Amino acid sequence: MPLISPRRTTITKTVMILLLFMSSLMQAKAATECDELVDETLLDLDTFLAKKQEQRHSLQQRFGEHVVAGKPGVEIYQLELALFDFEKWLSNFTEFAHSNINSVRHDYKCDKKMLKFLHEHMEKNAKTIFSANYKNIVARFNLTDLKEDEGLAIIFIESTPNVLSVSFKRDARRADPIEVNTFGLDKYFRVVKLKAGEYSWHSAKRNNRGGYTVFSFEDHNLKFFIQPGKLNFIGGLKFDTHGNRYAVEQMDRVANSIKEVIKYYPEFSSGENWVNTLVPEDNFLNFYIAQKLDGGIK
Amino acid sequence: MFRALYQFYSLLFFVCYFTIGSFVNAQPAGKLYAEDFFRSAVIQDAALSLNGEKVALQIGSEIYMYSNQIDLQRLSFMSLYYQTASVYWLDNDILVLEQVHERTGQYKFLFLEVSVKDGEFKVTDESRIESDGYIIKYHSEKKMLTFAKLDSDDGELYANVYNIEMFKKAKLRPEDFDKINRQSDNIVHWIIGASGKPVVGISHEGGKTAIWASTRSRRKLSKSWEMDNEIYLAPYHYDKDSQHLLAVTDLDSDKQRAVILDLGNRQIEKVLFEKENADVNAIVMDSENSAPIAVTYLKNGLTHYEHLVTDEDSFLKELRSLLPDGQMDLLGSSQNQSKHLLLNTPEQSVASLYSCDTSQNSCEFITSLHPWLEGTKLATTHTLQVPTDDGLMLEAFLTLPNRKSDNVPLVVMPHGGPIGVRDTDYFNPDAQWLAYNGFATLRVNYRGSKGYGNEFLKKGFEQWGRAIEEDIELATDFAIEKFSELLHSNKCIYGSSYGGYSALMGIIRDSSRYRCAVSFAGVTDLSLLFSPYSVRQNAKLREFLVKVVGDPTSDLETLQYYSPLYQYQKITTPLLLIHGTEDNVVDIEHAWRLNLMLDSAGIKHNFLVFDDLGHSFSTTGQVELFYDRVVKFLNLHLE
Repeated sequence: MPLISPRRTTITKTVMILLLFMSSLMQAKAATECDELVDETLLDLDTFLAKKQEQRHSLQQRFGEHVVAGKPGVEIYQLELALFDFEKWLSNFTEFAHSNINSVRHDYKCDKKMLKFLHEHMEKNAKTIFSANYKNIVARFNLTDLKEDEGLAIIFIESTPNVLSVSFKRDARRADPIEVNTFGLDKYFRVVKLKAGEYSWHSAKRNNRGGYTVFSFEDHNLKFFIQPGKLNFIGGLKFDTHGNRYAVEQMDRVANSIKEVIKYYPEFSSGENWVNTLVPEDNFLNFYIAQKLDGGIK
Repeated sequence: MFRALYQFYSLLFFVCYFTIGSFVNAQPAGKLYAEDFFRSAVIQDAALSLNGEKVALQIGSEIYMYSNQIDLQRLSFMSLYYQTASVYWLDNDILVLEQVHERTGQYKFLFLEVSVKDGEFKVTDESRIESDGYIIKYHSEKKMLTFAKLDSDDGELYANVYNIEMFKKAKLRPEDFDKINRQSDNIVHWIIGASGKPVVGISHEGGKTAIWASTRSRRKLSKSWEMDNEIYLAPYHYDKDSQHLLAVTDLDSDKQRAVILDLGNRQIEKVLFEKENADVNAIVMDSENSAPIAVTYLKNGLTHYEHLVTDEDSFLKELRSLLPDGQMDLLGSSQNQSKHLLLNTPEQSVASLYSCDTSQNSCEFITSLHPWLEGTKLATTHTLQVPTDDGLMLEAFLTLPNRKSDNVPLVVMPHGGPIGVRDTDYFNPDAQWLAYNGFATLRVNYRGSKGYGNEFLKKGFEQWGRAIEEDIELATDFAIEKFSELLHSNKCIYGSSYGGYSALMGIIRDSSRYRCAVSFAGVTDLSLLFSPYSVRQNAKLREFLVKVVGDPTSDLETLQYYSPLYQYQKITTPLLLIHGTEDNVVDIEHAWRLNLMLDSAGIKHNFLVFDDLGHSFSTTGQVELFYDRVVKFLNLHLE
């Protein structure tokens, strides 16, 4: 006699099928709930980003001419933020945030805590970039717009990624340092309008567990000069931190400065009124301009 | 029955396992990767205690010890941030690790007293000095050190001498140093006499070298001999009675020679050894009686020991008879010169470390330096002697791949520098890796290279892009004429630093000479070398550059003429330009400038920027990535 009768086998099979069916029903319901939750989160995030973007546009219209960055009493008129392409960043960020939040559906078994964490984390990141970017919605300047005692400076900073800003100071005046927000980018480039004269690199601010640390390099005597009416190639500043130690130095950065000027500031790309004030005896800038005028290069 | 079968199959399994296992292990590695050639040797340094009983090995970032009685044991005293440059013993128990900070370049001397307790090595005391310098003498009975601390004043190097109680504190600071020299006068090299006082000092100041010495009647050091110019002078031993100084110097000679100087009469008393086409590198001393035994110089790119005493008296001859095949390099000997540590490199193999006992006529194999390459037949390197039109003799090393062919693609590889640097015939990972990939490589010691005398060195001054390139081209043509498997039409040029510059100038000078060029960390703008931000306000460095490159203030036009950047239009040969963002020697601005000009002119080329890469590679990962691109590029352009 068989140990399990055919009748008993049939009952067992039926029960099993029923259990499987109920389990899949429950799973389907859970999956739907999860999808709804994730979709809602994505919608919330998109709404948040859209609202921020709207605010940014309205600020852009409000500060049509220029915006004063830095501290009161310091005249620094910034040109349009070049290297940091905001629209591109927003598009990439949205894609990245969606992909992260969507991953909760499968990778984290719809863990609500994880979903909440990701949502908050993404909003926090976006807020930081938006608030930093508000200061940089400004109009372009032409060399012809400069006053007699003003010149344009090419700021080129290479730093460790967690550096928030680098500042410099006009030597002739007892002014506060002028802060350049580098957005934590390891390579940062822009053209700014400055009063003619002698300046020195002053300090860098680094993110440090929610707060920040300021590294002063006033003792390093890292000077640069601004000639009036010129596009001044003042060299690059290289700043690296290792724990609480840091290294800072000025570098010859003519080639990349030319490349970035051509890319982001085509109105200056003719080479007219370019001057290397870091190493005046360096002939490369003149050679480049001469080759351009000769038609040897584009 | 079942148990019997089980036992049979178990036995069969183990027999098969071990047979196959040993067979596999005995075979040379299958496919090799760049990492196999470029990863560090198993042992970076080895040192024998003065009684020859203890051996210290630097393995990776750690120190290991062993002796006849105790098996290999780890002593873990290595800091993560410091790299050990050298390991040596001061006596039978005091081990010194000379270390350099990876980023700051700061020197550190770590002293470990190593004793044997309960059958194990124990560090019973330790201390350190965080300063650049060198140890002149160790006074075993007092555990006292005579230490020369190096400093610089206005770019001029000098050293003061201190007695230091070695284990007074864990960290020995300047306040623990007891200065024993009265004057400094830019003295860099010191010799201490039996009394423990300085007896000889060598200074280099204002372009002149001077020897300071004491005599039997005058204890205070005085300037005994001032030369008319700056010379090379490495002192070895001073006899106060005769005022004879044993030294390696290029005084009154184009080459470095082993000589005895008579300081009393300011003349060379005797030339112990000189070689027509080579500088003497060092004197091997008998540590028991401070007498010279042999001198070393490079012969065919390998260290050669030339006896100063009769062969029969030399332990070097005995060692040679114990390890008759291949190159022998002595790392250290016991005080009585019966026990020795040495490297032996048989033909087409990697080097192995041996411990030899000449009193027992035996050598013990310790390890291969590159065990993963054991069993791999390395490519053969041929030494070429190439005469130039102006009477020089160039030495070049041609490495041919093992795979025979009547058309072996050639990669010409000029070394960096260009002044005071040289190639040798020792294991060269670049040449071996390229040979493994089927390429022959030619490395030329062009004019300006080290080791062939002053005249040869100076002939390289202000010859960037000129006579140096002619030497490289001459040696290349010579090699192709001599080796029928090489063709004029199937070669590229690849180098780093000056070699990268040379690769660029090679294709600028003659666009049809090479099929392609690879320039890594190459100089493209000679005048940029003089930028205050390149020389970092270092007046001495600038002065040196003016001497070897040319003067940018008086001769900018010439510098530009010999700069690839200003000749960019002549670059028509396929080019791979590579630079690291963290290069502190040749700033990446050099590559960016050339890339900008080539891009702007629409001249096709390949440009690769390696983030976090300096002037050379610090990880095998970087090498893998680098050579992946380089080999693909060479394969694309060479047949």
